[in-house]
Formats: sequence, structure tokens, C-alpha cells
Amino acid sequence: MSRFVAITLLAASSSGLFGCSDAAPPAATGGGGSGSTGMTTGAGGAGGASDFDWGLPPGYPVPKVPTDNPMTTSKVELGRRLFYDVRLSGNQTYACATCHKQELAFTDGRAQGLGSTGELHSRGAMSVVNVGYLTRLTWANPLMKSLENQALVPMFGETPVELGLVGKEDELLSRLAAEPVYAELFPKAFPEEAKAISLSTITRALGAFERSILSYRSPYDRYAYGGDPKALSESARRGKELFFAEKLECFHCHGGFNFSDSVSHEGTAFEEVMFHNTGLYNIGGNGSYPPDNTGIHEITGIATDMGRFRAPTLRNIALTAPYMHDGNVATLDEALDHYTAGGRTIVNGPYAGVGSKNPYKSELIAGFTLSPEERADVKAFLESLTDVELTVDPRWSNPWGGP
Amino acid sequence: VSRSDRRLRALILPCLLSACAAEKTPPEPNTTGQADDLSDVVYEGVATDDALIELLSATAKQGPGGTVFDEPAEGAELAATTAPRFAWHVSASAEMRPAPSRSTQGPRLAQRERSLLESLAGAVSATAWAHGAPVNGRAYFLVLSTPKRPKALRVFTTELEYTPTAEAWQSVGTGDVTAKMLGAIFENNRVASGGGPFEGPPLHVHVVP
Repeated sequence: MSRFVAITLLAASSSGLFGCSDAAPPAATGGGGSGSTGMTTGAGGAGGASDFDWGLPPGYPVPKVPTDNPMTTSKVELGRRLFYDVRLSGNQTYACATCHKQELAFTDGRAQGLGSTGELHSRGAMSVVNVGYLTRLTWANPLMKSLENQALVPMFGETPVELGLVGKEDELLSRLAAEPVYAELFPKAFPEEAKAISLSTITRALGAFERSILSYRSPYDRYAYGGDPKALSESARRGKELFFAEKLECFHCHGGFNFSDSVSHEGTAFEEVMFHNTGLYNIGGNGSYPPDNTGIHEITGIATDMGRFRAPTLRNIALTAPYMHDGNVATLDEALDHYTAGGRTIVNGPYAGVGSKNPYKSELIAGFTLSPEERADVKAFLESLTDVELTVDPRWSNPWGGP
Repeated sequence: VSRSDRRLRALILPCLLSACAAEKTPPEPNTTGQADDLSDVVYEGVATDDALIELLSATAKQGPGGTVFDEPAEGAELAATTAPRFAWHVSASAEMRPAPSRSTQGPRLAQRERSLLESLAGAVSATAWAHGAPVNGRAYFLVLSTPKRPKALRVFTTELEYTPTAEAWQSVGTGDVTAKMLGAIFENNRVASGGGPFEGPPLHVHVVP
């Protein structure tokens, strides 16, 4: 293992970095920073003027950018190349895009992730859409703040194995150095670096690319931001009213422009970090969740943190089934059933329990009633959050010409 | 929180905000010139009084981003007995712009049981959680005026249409009526950077008995 990886993973481990979408992290040993903490606004960062264009419409929030990783067109393009490159896995079968497919809003359609070596993960692959707005990354790690550091987890993590690169750091660098496209792109993206191809530049390029993937062109956006009265159906508009009403409480955790919480961007002063127990499980009636998937409790060890996970964005939710951290909810209808009941009841099996009575459940998951028409309206609204252009935008597509 | 509570908040909030601002920073330029009594405002969609206060404390701009009325038609003669539908869209110049091309080659939660007083205090610190979702995206302040009544009917809405109730429409009266629209893009009840406010061209109609 190279010195860079060793140092970085040690730091990550000591700050609870493991706890990625599906990692079983070691016990946290305290605080400490994880990766870049200096954030700036807009595209530039400390690197000075930037040629990067987010493509956002006026008035739409702009992600914060780490001061040590300013956005540039060259860097984002390099990140795109790397994101789709199977050379970033130990056995050269997996790329980031294997589990984050553009046509599925950068998810994989699986309930649980499947690593490059065939290991089944305990959690599903989260969408990387709009991750540039998040104060915390992955399902349940209150210490995971940096896209650049997070990229190391799928690359080198061993619990579980994702890309399976541990022990192959030098081989990875050699593979990339042999690629003529990279021989041109790395120095262009990192002209200040004496050694352009390194784990540091790889993760910074990946972070920049992921930060650039933004969803802002759904029918909802065209209505609510673009002022186009034809963009939303009558049903979706009624569903919007329900979604934002106190009766359903959806917006408390799935609110704002990103339909999530734990969001920051250019101009925000406060860092919101939220995790929620939605009553998905209540094993044995004592609030327990499946032992390999207890949420931030795995990091904090605090009893009341049992089952608390980050609320993912609802943008493109119709494309990102199955739902919840373990993919245990197959459809939007099942998700609505869960929230309507104020928690899920599992009648039989090792995980049996009445989720609505989970003692650690969020007070906002109280249940509600919806008529069939209202339910259809809410679904129509959720479907209006689908950004079809995102799924085909060449800025985020496979540059190597493969599927 | 009920609409009546909203109205009460709308009455009290400007005073509280004004007092707060006096202790901290000078208020932003106000298009109305002074604190406005907003108790008459009708709220539609998921619009909030906090967002309206933000809107009115910012300086409006003419040009791209303003709304264009689709209904009724400019110069239309409307019956006082039948409330018309007002509909609008954002001018084309402000619509979603195409994605930039790039080379593809080569290298905390609110306590819902807060008392009204507590929620008012919360509003001073610009949190609107206690009375529904904060405004995200565009919201529009529609003002119908007559030569004698500059605030004949005022509506703050997140929707792109509004049809007054029969009572509200009758309150406007007859004669020449001007509809003006002030809009902005909000994020959590605050006017977003680059989000306006934007003012569109007014609409003139004539209401007959």
C-alpha cells in the first residue's frame, strides 16, 4: 500500500470514514477532520479563475467547492474518464459507473450493491446526483464530508470490497499512465502537480466530476423554477400540495430544492446534518435494526442513533428503485405504504416487528391517510421529479464509447 | 398553522423584523418605502409570509425573469359578477438555459406543537418550519389595483394561476384595474442569489358591473 493511501485510510478510519453506502465500519475512535474542510463558493476555489460552467439556471443554488480542488473543465472531463474506467478496479471489471449508471440517475437498480469481486453489500448504491450539495455523504456516516476522500472508500475499502484496489495502488497508477488520453488529461487538469497521475489527483478529479452532476431540469423544475405552467400535470400539482403539507410531513426531511436535508451550497452559513429513523424495522420490539445495518449507531454507538440514516434526495426517485438503505422497499407504492402506516410491520422471520412502534423513530413519521386519488397525485408529483435530460446528458455520459 | 394565524403573523412580523433589524443591520431597500401591512394578502400554493417579507425587502428589477400574463387578455372587459382566472408564465428569456457543451473527446426539526408566540419568535430568526414548508423555487406577488385602491387585491402564490373567490373579486370593484406581478426565486424563504425579484409588464383590464 502506498504511503498516501496508508495515511489517508488511517485518517479516514480514525474518523469513521468507513461506513460508506455499504461498509461495516470499525468502531469510531473519536473526531477529527476527514479530508478537505476548506470550502469556497462557485467554481473557482483557491486555484483562481475557473472556466467551469455548472450549466445551472439563474437562481439555482451553486455547490460549494473545496478550496484545494477548484472546478475546471479539464478536471471534470478527467473525472468523467476515470468514473467510467474499469481500470479503477482491481480485476478491471468494475468502474464507478458500474454501480452508478447514468440511465438510472446514477444508481444501479439493485437492492444491495455487488462489488467487483462478487461480494454482496449490506446497503444499496446511492445516487451521486447532487452529491455536491450534501454536508454528509453515504447512508449513515456523520463524519463523511468530502467527495474526494469518499472516493477512496470504494477504491480501497475491504469491508466490503467494492472496486478492490487495495494492494494494487502502484498497478493502478501504471495502468493509467499507459493510457494516452490520460497522458494528456492529467497534466492539463493538474498543471501545478509535479506528478500529475497520483491517488490525490485521481480522487480530486473524481470528486470534481461527481460534484458536477446536477439535476435541475425535471418537470417540477420547469414549473417551480422555470415558470412554465405546462410543465406539471394537474395531478402532479395536487400531489405537490400534499407533499408540502403538514399532513404528510414529507418536506421536513425531503425538502428544499434538493428534496433532502443535510444540504449546503454557495451562500449557506450553517451546516445541517440530519439522520432519521423511519420505523423500517423494530426487531423484537426494542427498536433494533438488522445487525449489519444499524445506521449511524454503527459510528456513534449511541442507543438512540439506532436505525438513523440520511434522507436521500427524492429527485429522480422514480428511477432509483428499490428504496431505503437496504433496498427492502421495492416500489414507490410500497414506500407510500410504509409512510402511510407510520412504519413498516414485518410479520414473520428474523426481522419481525412493528416499525411504527420503534422507540427511536422520528416523530415526523406519524402516518396519514390518503384517498386513492390523493395517492395517485403524490405519485404523479414524485414522478415529476424525474430529470430525463440528466440520464442522457453527454456531460455525464460514458466517454469511452461503451455501454 | 391556520390561515388566520398566518394573517396574524403577517401583521406582527414586520414589526418584529423591523425591531430586530434596528438592532442589527439597516434594512434592505424596500420597494414600498416602508413597512407594509400584509394582513390583506391572500396566500396560495405553498407561499409563506416569511418569503413575502423577503420579497418586499429586496429591490425589483425589470427585464428577464419577469412574468407575462396569459389570462385575461390585455385590455379585456371583465364582468364584476364572474371572477376571472389570472394566469401567467415566466418570460422566455428566463427559462431553463441549455446545458453548456463540453468536449467529449480527448483528453433539525421543528416542534409542531409550538405556541404561536414561539413560532413568531422562530420566524424572526427566519425559520419558517413552524408554519409549513418554506418556499423553494419561484413565488409571485400579484397586486390588483384601481386608481383609488392601490391594494385592491393582493395574492402571494407559488402557482402560475389564480382565480379570486367571488367575494374577493367583488371587493376589487368596477372600472379600470391594473394587475402587477413581482416574482422571485426563493430558497428556504429567502430570495436566491440571482433570483430576482423580477417585475413583469402590467396587465390592464376593465371591470364592468
